[in-house]
Amino acid sequence: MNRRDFIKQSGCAAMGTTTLLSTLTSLGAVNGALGHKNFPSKEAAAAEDYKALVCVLFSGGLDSYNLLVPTGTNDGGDNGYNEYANTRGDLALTNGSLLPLTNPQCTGFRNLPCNYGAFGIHPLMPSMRDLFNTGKLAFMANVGTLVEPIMNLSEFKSGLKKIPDGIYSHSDQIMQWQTSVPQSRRALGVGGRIADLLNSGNSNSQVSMNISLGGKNIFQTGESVTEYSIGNNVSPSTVGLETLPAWWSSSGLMTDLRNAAIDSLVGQTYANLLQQTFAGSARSAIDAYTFFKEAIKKVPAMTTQFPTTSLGADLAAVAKVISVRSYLGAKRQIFFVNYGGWDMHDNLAGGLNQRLPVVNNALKAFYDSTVEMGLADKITTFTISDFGRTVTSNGLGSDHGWGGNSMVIGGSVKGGKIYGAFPRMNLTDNTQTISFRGNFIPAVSTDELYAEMALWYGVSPADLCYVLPNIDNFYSYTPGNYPIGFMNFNGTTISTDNKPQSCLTY
Amino acid sequence: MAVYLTYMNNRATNVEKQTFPDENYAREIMQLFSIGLFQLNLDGTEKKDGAGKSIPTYNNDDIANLAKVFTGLSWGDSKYLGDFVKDYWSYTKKLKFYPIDSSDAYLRDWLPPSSWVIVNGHEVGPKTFLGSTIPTRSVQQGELDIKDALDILYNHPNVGPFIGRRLIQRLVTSNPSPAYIQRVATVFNNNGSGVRGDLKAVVRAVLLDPEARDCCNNGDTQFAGAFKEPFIRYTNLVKGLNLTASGGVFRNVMRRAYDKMGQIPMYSPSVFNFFAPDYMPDGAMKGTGKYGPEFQTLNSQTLTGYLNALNSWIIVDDVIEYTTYFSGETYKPQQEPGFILTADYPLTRNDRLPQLLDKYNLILAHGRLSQKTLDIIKGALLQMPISVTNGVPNADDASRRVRLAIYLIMVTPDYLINK
Repeated sequence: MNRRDFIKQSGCAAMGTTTLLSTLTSLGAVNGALGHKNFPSKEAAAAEDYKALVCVLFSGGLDSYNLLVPTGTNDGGDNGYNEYANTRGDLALTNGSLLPLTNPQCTGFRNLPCNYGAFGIHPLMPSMRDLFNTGKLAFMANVGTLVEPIMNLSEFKSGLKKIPDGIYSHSDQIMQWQTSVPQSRRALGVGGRIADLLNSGNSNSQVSMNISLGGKNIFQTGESVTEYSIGNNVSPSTVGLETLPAWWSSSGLMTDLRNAAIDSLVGQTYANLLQQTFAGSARSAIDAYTFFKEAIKKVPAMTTQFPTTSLGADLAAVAKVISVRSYLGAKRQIFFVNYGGWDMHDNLAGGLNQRLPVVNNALKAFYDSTVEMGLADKITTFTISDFGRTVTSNGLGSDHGWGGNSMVIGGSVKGGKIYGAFPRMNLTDNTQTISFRGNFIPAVSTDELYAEMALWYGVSPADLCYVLPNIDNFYSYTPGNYPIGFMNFNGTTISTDNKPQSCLTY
Repeated sequence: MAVYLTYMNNRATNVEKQTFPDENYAREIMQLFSIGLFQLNLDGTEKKDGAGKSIPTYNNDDIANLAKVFTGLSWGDSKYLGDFVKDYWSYTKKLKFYPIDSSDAYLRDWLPPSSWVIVNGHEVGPKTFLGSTIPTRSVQQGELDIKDALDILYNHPNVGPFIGRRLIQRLVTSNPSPAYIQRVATVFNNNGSGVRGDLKAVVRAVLLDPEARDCCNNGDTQFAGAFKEPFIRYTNLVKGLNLTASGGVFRNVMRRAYDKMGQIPMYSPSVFNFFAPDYMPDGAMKGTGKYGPEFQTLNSQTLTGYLNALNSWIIVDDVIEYTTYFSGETYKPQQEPGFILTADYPLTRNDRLPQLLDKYNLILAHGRLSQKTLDIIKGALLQMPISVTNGVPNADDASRRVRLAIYLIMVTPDYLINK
């Protein structure tokens, strides 16, 4: 083969097999035709069929019994703070420093009492207190991984109840919070399974319904859908491949040549499936970024100021992506953000004082941005973590526990209320704790937490068993009866669309 | 480790204060560093109970008991249990064992000694875990508890297959056969001379195993090899191309490696490392039940990030980052290394490109690039300008061809899957 033939052939091959890196210009034309530069009006946004779930993972295991704290001091029999302080010892926050929640209406769950009536939250979470008191934030008390309800220690020990694998183990529990299938190490993620069902409602196939600021994660991994990972610097210049240096002669042409070669290299079919896995990832990443890059050119200016912390920047990026949802052809989006560093076996007080303000400020800014976009009631943010921690101290720190407390925030959340059942802080005669260290059997399952949001998001009751394989152990849908009751379903039509996916079992 | 996994200044149970020994290290030394979560057969497969379920190696009582062992340790240059770190050198000193917690004498030294609360620093009493019991001994002898505990862990039958599988995954392949793991674990258990835990023999067994030497993993080409973790690719480039600095000094904060690829040494997000041994990737391997640990580092962001990092390193020749590693030090030009590739320039002529590609195929991919891959790269290089005078290529043209050749090689799945 002489050189000219070779160029001809490889050139044709490149054109035939790859369009990935060369779709930029045509996409620009399509999106240009769509026109509008700024936010749609709030009226338009209100009428829009759009919903997003934002999962904020606190990896490491947040000590959420210093996030939500009972404050009663023997008023009307509620001695919550004193029980808390006695048990937590050197970890206890002072009662005067806690930010009081207005009438938190904690009523208990599944025949488990809430135990206390008065609650406050960590002193460095004032914006979360405000969101709670204005009805935009709800707490889930003692929520965690369960295969089926376990009501007390004797049921736990009976051998008759299915117990989650690897209670207390970071790797197991952080995974189970994302899969909601505590009996398996092979399950898909909740967000991934939701997207399996609903992804076809989004009009583009290049950029996933599931967008991650935290890289690869199980939560967003489904059977057919996986995450699209982005960095938090959402700017066209930081997305995709850099060009070859400008000082190279014919730099643009050489860059095209390079890109065509990359397309050809990752466009081959490889018998070795590790190689094929890389090649496939490369193709979809390249495919997605060319589309994504065009869309984010349309990000409008926002007045909401986000903190410059990593969590603030990640949530700012989520807001920016949401702002160009129409260019991404997205009616439904699930975001994943990870803010770690919570494994505070030591220096718990200092650690929480350092990290909780970051959470407070970032979640507040994000909520404000959803208001600014006119989408507050279409976006629901929730926090998850590996596990709660021991309520007893190991000497200025706490160890791995089980059930903990989560926050759910948004305009469609029936906030200002503590759902679930806060465990008794006095460990003597406590039937919820499974060890002398104070580790609580969750009152509420992750299944119930997710089921409520899935129904709101548009999963039909018939499909819940695909999203949450254990849901039948906790809940079955009847009109007007919701798993926990923290979402406002007014204006939401429960989907009757039964997708082809059948129930999953593990 | 004592700071990282928080057993520094860990104290015995104090009923009055309602504090208990820190469980962090007790848990992770078992889960991550020695035996893992489930009982293993010699070949690395999990033992099953009558109901077909995996059998946990320990429960929370084991953790609470082992936690009692790691009590009473503080900095080597500390004055009492609970003392703070003195300076960086403290990290270089062996921990000091404090049977007694006399911190009150230091922290409340204005009080009469009779009012100091002096308690045991190390927890006394028997400690039962993994079915073995560390005997009761005096608190002064408590440091021997640690030795006993480590011996119990070390002699657990899981250690051989647990460590063996991890070493094989790092050094050879993500999916070793059970027989391969068993051969390595057997050597761990006994190096042939009755010695357990001879790691030199273990590494030899890993690398010289037929499954490692056979290019095609006993014919199982579909799942052979391992995805090169991001930082290994960077070191491949730096070592393979013999990065040189005229001053002989190399300093590198490696920030770009982290920002672009999500990995630099010593910065793993948690004690669980950058990726898990049991990670199963999406895509072509999904549903096969096969592992690809390093794929946990790969996503759309780190994928293009890697290509852009390569662009900086090999195309732009900006290989290291030397910014503010030590405060007050100024930048020294001779400490900026670069790749000197002039020896390759003669190989950039059209007729010699196969030799150029052969060379880097050998250096970077130990000859694993397929003919098709080589053809694609050669096809791209041939389209780059080269002006040749008296048989000698123009230096700029030649440099660019060499650099793009290396860039493209390092993008290929043939290179990225180490076999």
